[in-house]
Amino acid sequence: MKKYLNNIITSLICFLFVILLNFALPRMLPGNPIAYLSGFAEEEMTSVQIEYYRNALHLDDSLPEQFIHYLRSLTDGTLGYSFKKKANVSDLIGEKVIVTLQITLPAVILSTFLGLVWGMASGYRKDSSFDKTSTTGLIILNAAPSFLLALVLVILFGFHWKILPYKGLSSSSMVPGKPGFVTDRILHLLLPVMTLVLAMLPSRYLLMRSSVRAATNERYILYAKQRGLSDRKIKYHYILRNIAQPFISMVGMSVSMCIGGSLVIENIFSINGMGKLLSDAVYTLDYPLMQGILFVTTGICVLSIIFTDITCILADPRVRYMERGQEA
Amino acid sequence: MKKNLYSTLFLILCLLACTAIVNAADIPQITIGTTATIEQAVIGEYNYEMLASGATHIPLVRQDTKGVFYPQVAEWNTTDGITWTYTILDGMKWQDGTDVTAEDILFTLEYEDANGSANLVSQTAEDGKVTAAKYAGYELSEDGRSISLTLAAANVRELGNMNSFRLLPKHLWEGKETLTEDELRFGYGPYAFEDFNKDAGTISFVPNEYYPEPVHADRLVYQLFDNPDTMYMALESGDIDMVWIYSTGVAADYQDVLGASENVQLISVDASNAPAVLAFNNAKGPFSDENIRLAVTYALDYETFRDYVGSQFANIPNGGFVPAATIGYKETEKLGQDTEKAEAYLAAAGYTRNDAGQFVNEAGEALSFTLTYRADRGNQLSCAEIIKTQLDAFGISVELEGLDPDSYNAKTSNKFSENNITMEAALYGYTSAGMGMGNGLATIYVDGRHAVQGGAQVYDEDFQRILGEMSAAATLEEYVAAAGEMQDFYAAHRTVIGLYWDCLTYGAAARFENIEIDNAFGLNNAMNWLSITEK
Repeated sequence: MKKYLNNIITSLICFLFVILLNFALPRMLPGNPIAYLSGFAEEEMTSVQIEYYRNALHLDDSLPEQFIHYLRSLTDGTLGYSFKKKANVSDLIGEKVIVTLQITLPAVILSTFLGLVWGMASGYRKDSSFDKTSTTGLIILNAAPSFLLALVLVILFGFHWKILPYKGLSSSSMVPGKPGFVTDRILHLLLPVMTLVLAMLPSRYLLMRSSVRAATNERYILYAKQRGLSDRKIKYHYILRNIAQPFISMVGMSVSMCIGGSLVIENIFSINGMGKLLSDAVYTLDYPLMQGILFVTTGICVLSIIFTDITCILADPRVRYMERGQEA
Repeated sequence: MKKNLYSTLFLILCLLACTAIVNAADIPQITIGTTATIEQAVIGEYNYEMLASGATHIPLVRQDTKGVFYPQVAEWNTTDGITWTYTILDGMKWQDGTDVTAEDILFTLEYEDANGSANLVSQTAEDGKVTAAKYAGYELSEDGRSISLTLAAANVRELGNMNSFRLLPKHLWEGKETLTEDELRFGYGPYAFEDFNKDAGTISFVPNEYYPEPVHADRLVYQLFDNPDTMYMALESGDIDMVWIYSTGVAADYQDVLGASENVQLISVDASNAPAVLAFNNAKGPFSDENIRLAVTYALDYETFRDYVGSQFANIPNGGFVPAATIGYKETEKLGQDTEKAEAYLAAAGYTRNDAGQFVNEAGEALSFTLTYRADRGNQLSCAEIIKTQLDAFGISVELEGLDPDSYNAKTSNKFSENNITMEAALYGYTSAGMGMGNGLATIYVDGRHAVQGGAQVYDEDFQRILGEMSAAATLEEYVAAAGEMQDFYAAHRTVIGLYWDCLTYGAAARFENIEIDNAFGLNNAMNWLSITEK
């Protein structure tokens, strides 16, 4: 338990460090902080605009006061203001994160489920032709970059067979509430989700497979087999509980990706989500927006790490027994 | 008798029905792919304005690819290049049926002034800098259809400013503090806004029933793509009917593939921009010596730039610098490699070739210079490498300096360097709009006195004299004569050179014909929707 408490404390310290960095960086960089905090080049601003931003950003206040203003913007939920997009950062993120979650969430769930079942089956039947074929295929897939996967799927399903849409989240004639909207949305999500699944699956599969392979050499598996337990029971009741830790950690790390989105996938499928928002912020030097996105993704990442650690304790019997032993 | 009457009536009805069918749009929908990023479909958002210029907010006049102007919303008249009278064309109406009037022109100018432009009133910035009003005065006609605008100074090329001038609705906007999205996109063009579906990434338009001429497509749909690969594949597969990116044609990388497709037609027009320019610092450094400028321009092999950097339609520029689509273009010497001439000019500059093949001066110093370019621009990187390879082989040492946009601007423009341009030679891309600004012929980039550009740092008296003549021209003939002189100056002094000229290439589905291209807006123009037909 102490180890996990340490992890949680380290994560929280990292998060606080990110908050401090977010506040300090624009003020520490060479040049006028107005440019960094407003997102506009200093030479493009009139003296009136400079004065306006100086007041709006409280730059005449002392540093501690500025920090309090910054913390207030985090706690009141606005996360600052994007002067370039003329909107609260939280509103911008909120609008885009819903779009992104429609792709990333199903992809994470699906790739996790497939990686788990497939990796378990291959690892359990180690060195069988099923294992060798699956592993070779997925190692090759692992080497393919996601943009290539996306383009291949677009060419095959979108242009060659013309069976799936390859652009946007819905057809132009579709609006929420209209009959067929849900089906249309699912059809539009298929290719981007499939791309992400194919991109994420190999790492999950390979981790699962190697863990299961190692576990099958353990004596408790031999005893289970000797007792005549079914393969299904051995795999999912004995092996899975013992090897869940690294797998859960890996899935936990995907949560931040769910929020941060995938720039490549969003670009190829013309989906206006978090990945695009971040790339816009970078290209237009919209620092408040970049800071807001960094804050949110870091926050979610820290929460997911804490949640993952707790899940590991609950899932792994050894950890629980160790805890009980330590307490006794 | 009664039977005959019924027959006659029946025939008349049939004829009327047939006429209606003939007049109806014969293309159900035209889908245009674009990589423009649009967050809000309202006037005021730049990318939407460019898009709407072909549908709801068509410019006052249009210019074809030969440079000829035509009335689109208003016809014009001037006798001296100072006072320009614009008269609204018959039948022009807003999408609610209200007449478009000359007062809308005036309202637009005043509205822009209220938002920082200097049309009818001068603007004074906080730092005291004054931007003088463009117009000295105006006069509205009694019938409200004409307005005479008097420029502060003569400009025979004034129509070049009017081919992007879009009207705002006085009857709807006047006196309102805030405007709704519908009011902000309320137009008068051949189409009216229908819908912006953000999830689908489409903006659609339907015919404006009050537009005086019938359009040939029942619906225009602009499909927003983030990824050009997907967009060009969609064109090739027939999912979209044409691609449009403001002021840009089909990228050279895609032209071969699209050209080979039987579903696609590529339409190539002469461009009035200069995609790759080698500009010398004429005031400081080695290139203040004209002989060295001439030597470098004769040492380069322009076929390499054309073949390896330009598209399949690229060609070798003239010494006169501006491409043939420019108003006032004059034929001058074509650039070409002549190493003997280059050596002769270097000898005149005091450089001879040493045993290592390097050109050195009397003090034994090798001739070298730094070439600055934008590292994020692929064609500049390619051109820089070619220049270095060729000149190094010739005996002039070149050091390449690839910079990010901010650092590049700080070395290459008067505004961002605070009038301290430090580049020795730099690669630029001059846009068509930039080439036409001021007195045209890319003079804003050459003139060292220009407040913003002036990269080539030319302060030559002859140059200033010709510039004065261009500015003072009261007729097009006078302007063309001065423009010819300017091109002769460029050719003789080689202050800047083009490395290749290119064409703008547009892509559309092969099933269409009678496609009209606009000089400013390419395929996205009202005339196209009035003329386009299916084969």
